[in-house]
Amino acid sequence: MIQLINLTKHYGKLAAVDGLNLEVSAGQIFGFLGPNGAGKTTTIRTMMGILKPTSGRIILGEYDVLAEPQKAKAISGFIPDRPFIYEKLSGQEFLAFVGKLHRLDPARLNRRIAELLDLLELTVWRDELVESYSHGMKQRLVVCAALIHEPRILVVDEPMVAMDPRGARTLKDLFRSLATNGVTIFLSTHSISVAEEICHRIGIIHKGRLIACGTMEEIHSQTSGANGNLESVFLALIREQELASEVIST
Amino acid sequence: MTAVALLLSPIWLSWKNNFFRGGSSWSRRISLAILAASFWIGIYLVVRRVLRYFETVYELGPALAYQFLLIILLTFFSMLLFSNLVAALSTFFLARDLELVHAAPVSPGSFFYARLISTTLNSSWMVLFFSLPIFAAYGSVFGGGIILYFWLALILP
Repeated sequence: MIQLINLTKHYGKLAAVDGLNLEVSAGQIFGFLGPNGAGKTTTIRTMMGILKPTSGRIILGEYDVLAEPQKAKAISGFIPDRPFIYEKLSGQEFLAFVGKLHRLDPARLNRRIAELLDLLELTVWRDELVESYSHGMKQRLVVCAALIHEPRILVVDEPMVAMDPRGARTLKDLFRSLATNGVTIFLSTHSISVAEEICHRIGIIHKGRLIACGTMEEIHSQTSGANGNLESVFLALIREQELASEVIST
Repeated sequence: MTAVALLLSPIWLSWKNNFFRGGSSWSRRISLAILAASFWIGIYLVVRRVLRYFETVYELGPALAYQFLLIILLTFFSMLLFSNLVAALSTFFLARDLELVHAAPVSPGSFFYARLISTTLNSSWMVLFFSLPIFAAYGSVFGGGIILYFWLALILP
């Protein structure tokens, strides 16, 4: 379960995230949508304890990220938008490093490495240096690293960037299967089709504020004049917000 | 301590992989090693010659050697101070693996000590390595003996 309570993050005078409140239940895939600069990545980085919020609380599972960061991080996995992998390590060495950071015992670590490399079709590359991997393979390795400790919560920032259709399909299936097994997934994406396809609930953020949140049907009912798909609903909501802020400023 | 060693492990693993599986050829590595050794021996010979000359200067000789050592130590201190500051900024705040490490359940203490060690090693090894022939030359000219190297090993880090 993920809870964001009145989460605010300021950079100087700019409010990147402004009083964000939301809750994601266990086993749910939550799609976090918004235009560029809306505050998606800032929200995710504060959730993972990488940035300190200006105010508000973040609860991951039963742990407050500010009060018990290590316990909160121990049950969470993170797939960043621009992941870093040590290029001079082999895939196996990188996964072993991340697994040891999560204090996995050697038997469990070896089992998980074998399972994940097999699942994401990287077994034959396990002993090759990461520098020889393609972009898609690196992304799959980062997914392996995020899942190595069998997290209860998975936070994902732009997962399908530059991934080929087959890789994207594997990842979507994986997210669905994880959610079925009770993993809570917080998925930030630009791709409306991905959100529409796999997310149980969707939140739309604009200028740091959550402007819509709910199931597809609930979000449809919040907009007037938008027909059919999520894309038109998303654009209608953003347009409404911009018109409202123009009216306020004049 | 285990967590600190673990956080440092990508550095030595990368070094090991680069050495044994890296692209650079053995001839290039041997050329670089010969170049470094020549430089090291060159420093030793030049400093020893300068110190030998100081010894011939009546009355002022020991003072000159002492002042020369002070200048060398002051230069090293300034270089180390500056390079450690720059390296610390980069390893603590700008490193590309920060997101990966911060998203894992790592205690702030372990993170700090691991970064401190890597900063110190990254920014100091070269100065330490190339200062050794200078101290060796002093040891040779003034008859420092084995005890000099013991003190150096104790003091320099």
